[in-house]
Amino acid sequence: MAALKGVHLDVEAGEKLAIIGECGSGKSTLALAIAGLLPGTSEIGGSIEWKQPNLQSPRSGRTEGGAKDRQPNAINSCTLGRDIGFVFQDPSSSLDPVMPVGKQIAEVARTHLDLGWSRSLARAKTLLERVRLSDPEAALRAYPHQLSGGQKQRVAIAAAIAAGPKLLIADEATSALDTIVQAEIVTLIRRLVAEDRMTLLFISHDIALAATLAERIAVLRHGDLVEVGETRQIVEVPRHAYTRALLDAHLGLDAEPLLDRQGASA
Amino acid sequence: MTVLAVSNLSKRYRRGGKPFPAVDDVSFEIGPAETLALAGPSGSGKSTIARLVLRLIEPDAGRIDFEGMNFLALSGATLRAKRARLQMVFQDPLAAFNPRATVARVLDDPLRIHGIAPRAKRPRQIAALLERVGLEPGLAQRAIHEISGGQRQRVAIARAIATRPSLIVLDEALSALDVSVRGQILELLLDLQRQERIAYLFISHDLGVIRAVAHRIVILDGGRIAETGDARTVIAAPQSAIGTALVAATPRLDRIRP
Repeated sequence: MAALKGVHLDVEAGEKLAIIGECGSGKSTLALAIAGLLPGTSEIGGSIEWKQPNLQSPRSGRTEGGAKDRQPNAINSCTLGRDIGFVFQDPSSSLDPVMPVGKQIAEVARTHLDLGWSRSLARAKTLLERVRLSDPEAALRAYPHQLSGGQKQRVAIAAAIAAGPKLLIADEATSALDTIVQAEIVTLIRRLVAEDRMTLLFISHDIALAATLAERIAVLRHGDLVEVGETRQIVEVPRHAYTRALLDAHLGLDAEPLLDRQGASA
Repeated sequence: MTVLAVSNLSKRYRRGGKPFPAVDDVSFEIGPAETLALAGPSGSGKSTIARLVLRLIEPDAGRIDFEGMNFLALSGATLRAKRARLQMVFQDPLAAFNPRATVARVLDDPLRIHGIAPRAKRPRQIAALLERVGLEPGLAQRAIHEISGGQRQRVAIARAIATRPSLIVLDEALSALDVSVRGQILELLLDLQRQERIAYLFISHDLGVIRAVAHRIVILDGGRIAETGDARTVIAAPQSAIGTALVAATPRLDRIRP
């Protein structure tokens, strides 16, 4: 089964692009392909070309988990962790449960920036301040299980940006969080992307959430890129019937209550 | 007349050695064919209330009256009989069912256990239940793990209505579904409510969904009721700090940044 079917997409340097779609649309596969994280067993065609001058060829022997080999014919390929930061949906499974979170963040800086441990740990503390953890000094020594879901996701974001990547990929990074924490994490991502002048790929099933953050939205369905356009155009004048259906299915605070349509009452 | 009346319900857990109030002096009522939503952030006590109402856990204090009976005082056969009238649908039906069981098996259990239908009549009942929730009767022979998430949640609803309940607790029952599927399931729930007069205790973190389907809302914060009232009125103009924060945090298509 093809998870993606001939998707062609340009991402501008410095833009915030949302990729939205339902289960099985291929949005996560696309994110993993860009990050070089597809499993070795997958059949890959096509190419990913990095045109940003800041992204250099990877140093020899420094690719993570065979990231380079798994890039679909990547030209000027780049390295996960150094050039690309990746935030997953579930911070509990992306963080090591038996390592203090400060060390996990420091490890990224040490690996990709050739810093010693003490400078890496100092950088980790700065990062924990930047992601607004209430007590960064204590958080450095905390284990993931001692943190709430939102705090863990802040740590995961700190680790993702520890080596100063040019591209940040957030794959359903707020989907496991409650509404209030989700809004806080979106605010955090928006601020960090602006401060570090990162490019953002925001993968989400939620078109309204994507629209609050992204300048452009790409809509995927069954592995096809249905349409891509500026957020306002996608939301106000979608070209594709599927995008219209997604917008109609959104139950916003301004939507017509289903109860009235049904004529039920208490 | 009320289906469910919860009075001064409290439940404490121990966290880090210290008692921690998960549910603190909560009272509410639900009438027939009414949907009461429980909203609130993670850890506000929504799911603990659901589990207390279902008697999956026992409260430290308070009273639960269900269909006019002191529900917490029931035991044995009386409790089992009453439980048929109080059903549940959770977020993840794959976790709720044996994945290798067939759809028929999942629906046969409540019919058998609660003595709803004799063995010979059950296949027809199962087919009728599947049709009632918009599924092909032929699906009965498929395994739970083979069908889609939306179909699985329809099976969970069919299982819940098999015992003709007066109240169904829906704990984030729509949260894992694609938006297109979610709309269909919402329509199904509303249709069942109108036809069968079923009341719902509807637990969700999504105010948009709550506003679409619930008559009344209870907003929880730290185990206590922060605010309650008509769902649309409360969401339009929340009075509590947590209600205001929840509304402000809800993503809106009508307020896109330029």
